[in-house]
Amino acid sequence: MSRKEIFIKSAFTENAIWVQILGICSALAVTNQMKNSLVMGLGVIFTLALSMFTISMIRSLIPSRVRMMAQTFIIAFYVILVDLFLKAVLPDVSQELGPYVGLIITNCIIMGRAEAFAIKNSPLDSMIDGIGAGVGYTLVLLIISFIRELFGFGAIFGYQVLGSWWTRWSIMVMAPSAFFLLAMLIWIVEIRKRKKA
Amino acid sequence: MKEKISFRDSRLYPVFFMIILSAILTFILAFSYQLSKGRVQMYQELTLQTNLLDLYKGEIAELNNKLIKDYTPEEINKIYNKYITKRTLQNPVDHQYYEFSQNGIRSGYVFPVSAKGLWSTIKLLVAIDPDFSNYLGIKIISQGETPGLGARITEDWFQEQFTGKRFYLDNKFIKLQMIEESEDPETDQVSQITGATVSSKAVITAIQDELETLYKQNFSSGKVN
Repeated sequence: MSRKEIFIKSAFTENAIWVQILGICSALAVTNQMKNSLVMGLGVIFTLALSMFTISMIRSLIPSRVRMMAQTFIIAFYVILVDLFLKAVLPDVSQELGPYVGLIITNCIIMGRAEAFAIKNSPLDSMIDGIGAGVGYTLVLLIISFIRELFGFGAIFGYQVLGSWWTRWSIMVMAPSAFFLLAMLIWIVEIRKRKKA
Repeated sequence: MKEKISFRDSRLYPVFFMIILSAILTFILAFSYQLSKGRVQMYQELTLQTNLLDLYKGEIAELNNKLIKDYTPEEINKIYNKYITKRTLQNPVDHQYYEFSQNGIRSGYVFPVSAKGLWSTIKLLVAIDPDFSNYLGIKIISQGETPGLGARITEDWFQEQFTGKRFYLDNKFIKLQMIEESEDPETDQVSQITGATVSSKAVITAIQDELETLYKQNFSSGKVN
């Protein structure tokens, strides 16, 4: 498989959210504003890329009995680095995201890619796979937050696009709306897939 | 004869591996933490100073020309040190507060207070004049309420409406009343945020009840001069 194929497979054909239904918690939690979704997505892409690279680098050294422990450790290491970086360089964003950055550690997508790909492939391929999964995740976050921010705040990336005549949909601001939107997104993807087949 | 097993297959290897991995990763993390610690603390201190100065921006001559955001950290620090002194209360022990003075004359206090909102503890600063009769302003410093609903307590109009409201008059504590967002508030009334009664109420509880307690415990009998 070429690197391009790895990327496309990991980002779209086997998209972490709409095909594997992983990483749902954070998709519900941070998607009411596009800015937060983007930063969260970038954090996940960074963590995925580097932790997949590292895990793959030392994959022959990792004893299989403790491999999950080692993977979690490496993932947590990069997440804490992201958190420190945000606190020291982008304190406003760090304040906005609050505990969600730390919670990247528990994002199942990362553990999933480590187990499914990085543990048995070369470092560069694993990194591409990680970036692909992260991009796929970010894409879904942005689609959902676009709809939620538009209907809930009348804004896109914090810029007011709908005037004061717009009645804000409070439901779009709360977590349940992401639940419905996510379900609809998965539905649409499934229908398209079946039509093609 | 027992077959000699290599170290990689022994039971000790996973333990050994995890110890080495922990040592390396923890070392790098501790190192980066030390590197960023200064900056993080500086930002926290700067945020606090900016918030405190923001409460008094009308009275500080140096702040009249531009927004606080446009000042460098050094300038903010200088203005802060000129006007604001950090003090501690006796009761509760070590509860910090800030005294604002101009040319040696005390012109107000700022107290950090907090109250439970719908999801989070809302923390805010409340500024009051030296005889505790009127609020000089409030500033929400941290909250985790619903974005678009409860989190709107951080909007300027909501915070600014407290400026000038009465706190204490003729030995009585004034109770602020909440009215609908669409109505016009009169004396001792403030607008609540539509759909966020709990969060709005928490702000009022914090600045009214918390401050009342602090006042009774520390200021009423002239304990602090």
